[in-house]
Amino acid sequence: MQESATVQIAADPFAIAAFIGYLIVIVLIGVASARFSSAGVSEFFVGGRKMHRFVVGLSAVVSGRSAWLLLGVTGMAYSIGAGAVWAVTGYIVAEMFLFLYYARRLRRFSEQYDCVTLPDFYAARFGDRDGRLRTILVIIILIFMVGYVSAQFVGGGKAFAASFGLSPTTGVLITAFIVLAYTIMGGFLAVSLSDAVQACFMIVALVAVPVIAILDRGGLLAVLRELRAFDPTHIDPLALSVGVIIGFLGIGLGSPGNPHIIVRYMSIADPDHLRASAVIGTVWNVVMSWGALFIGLVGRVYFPNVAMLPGADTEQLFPMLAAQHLNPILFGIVVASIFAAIMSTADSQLLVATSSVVRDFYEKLLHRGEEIPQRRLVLYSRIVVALLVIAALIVGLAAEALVFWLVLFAWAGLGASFGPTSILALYWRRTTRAGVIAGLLTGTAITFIWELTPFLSSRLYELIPAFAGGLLATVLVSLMTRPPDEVNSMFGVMRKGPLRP
Amino acid sequence: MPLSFFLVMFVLPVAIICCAIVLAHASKRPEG
Repeated sequence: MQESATVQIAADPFAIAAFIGYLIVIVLIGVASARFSSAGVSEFFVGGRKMHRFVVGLSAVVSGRSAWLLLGVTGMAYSIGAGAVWAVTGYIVAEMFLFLYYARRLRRFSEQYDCVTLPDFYAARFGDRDGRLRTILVIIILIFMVGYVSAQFVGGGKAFAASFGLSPTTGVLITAFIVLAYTIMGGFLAVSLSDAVQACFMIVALVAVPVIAILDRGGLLAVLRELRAFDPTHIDPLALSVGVIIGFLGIGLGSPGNPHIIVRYMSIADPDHLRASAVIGTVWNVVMSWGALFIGLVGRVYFPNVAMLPGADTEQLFPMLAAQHLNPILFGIVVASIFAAIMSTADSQLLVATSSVVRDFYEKLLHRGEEIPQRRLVLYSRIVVALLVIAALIVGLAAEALVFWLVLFAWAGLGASFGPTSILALYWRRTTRAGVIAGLLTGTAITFIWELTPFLSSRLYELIPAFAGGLLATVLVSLMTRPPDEVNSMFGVMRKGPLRP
Repeated sequence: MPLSFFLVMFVLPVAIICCAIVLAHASKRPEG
């Protein structure tokens, strides 16, 4: 997004008031959650496994949807038309199944074996006396997550610059400070509750903008007539090639491997409540995604030529359309929704990166077997949150190109390494520790190699071959190594819940 | 309105939500 040609709300006091009201709510949530989150690492990183089904449903969904949904998918539907539907269908269906099946097994296992992080789960499931497995997991998480958080800050900075006429650097600093403020105080509880509030902002914006824009143009049939006259393939969802459609659907393979989404499942109060979370999350996912698609479609009617958008940037469509059709307060909410998408992803990723440093590296690798007071760990967690924000800021401000290069395939890298290995860990008894290490390394390596080879990356999204490679490597190496002992009791816990004394 | 557009933009989202409701109901009993 370019600073010079953007939609600014700085001139309208009502829009600014709506936006500032949103920020105050988010920071207050952090303050209100501070006491609860100070009790221990379980409280700070998974909310003491006491999260409500509604909060888990919304938080899991919006943590996975960054500004990519509001700015990227709207721009994609604007550019390629109804075919963009396949880019959202894959992850919606994948996350529905995750809520219903994968999540329940993971949540039950986590309670029995006191898993606070995803590396905790792997270590409990496969044993990790030498710490090698946990070390690999921490490295993969940190490589992708710091870049991911940096990119969210940079995106927030640009959105601030676009909306308020500030310099992008000031915008990056403000975004980082707000995320830091409520995450450092309120930990997982603040992050989850603020995610739920942010989910409401996002859905209001994604429903209001297309509905009003379509009605202002004479209704849906009138809009479709204009689109057909513009280009008949624009309203044909099957106009794309099969390869492109498969690539779009393959985006969903990333969902089971992104720790900032998965850890939400571990936080719910009762595993059976995940059924309700599945319905709530799916409804939210569907409404938000289809809202974004309709924004892209109707946007083409208002702006037939991309040159009509600021900087000829399709990512400007959403704020442009909102500025044209909404009153200042609603427009302030739309701007807030863009920040909501950015912050709800950044805070979750920040917490996952922090947990891998404090829980996995410091507590479980550096001081293995030692009893460390919970309050001290929470204090260290807060310090690490601040340090990671500084690290993400440095990376974001000093190496913006590197950040976007990393983020380009962070979803794929995490999805290809954690996705197949965690699914097999939950569903295949024969999975071994060596198999999982092979799967993690293969998934990550294929992601990098595929992305860095233009001949390959131009043909297929790297997540699909990397996921398949990770899956194959895990299965083959597991079959070649000695079957694990004592997995039946673990699978009993996954199926029926924790063992009672 | 083209049939494929109607199916994908209106029927598909409703079908996904219905699927979530039905599967959530069907998975009421513990596994195994």
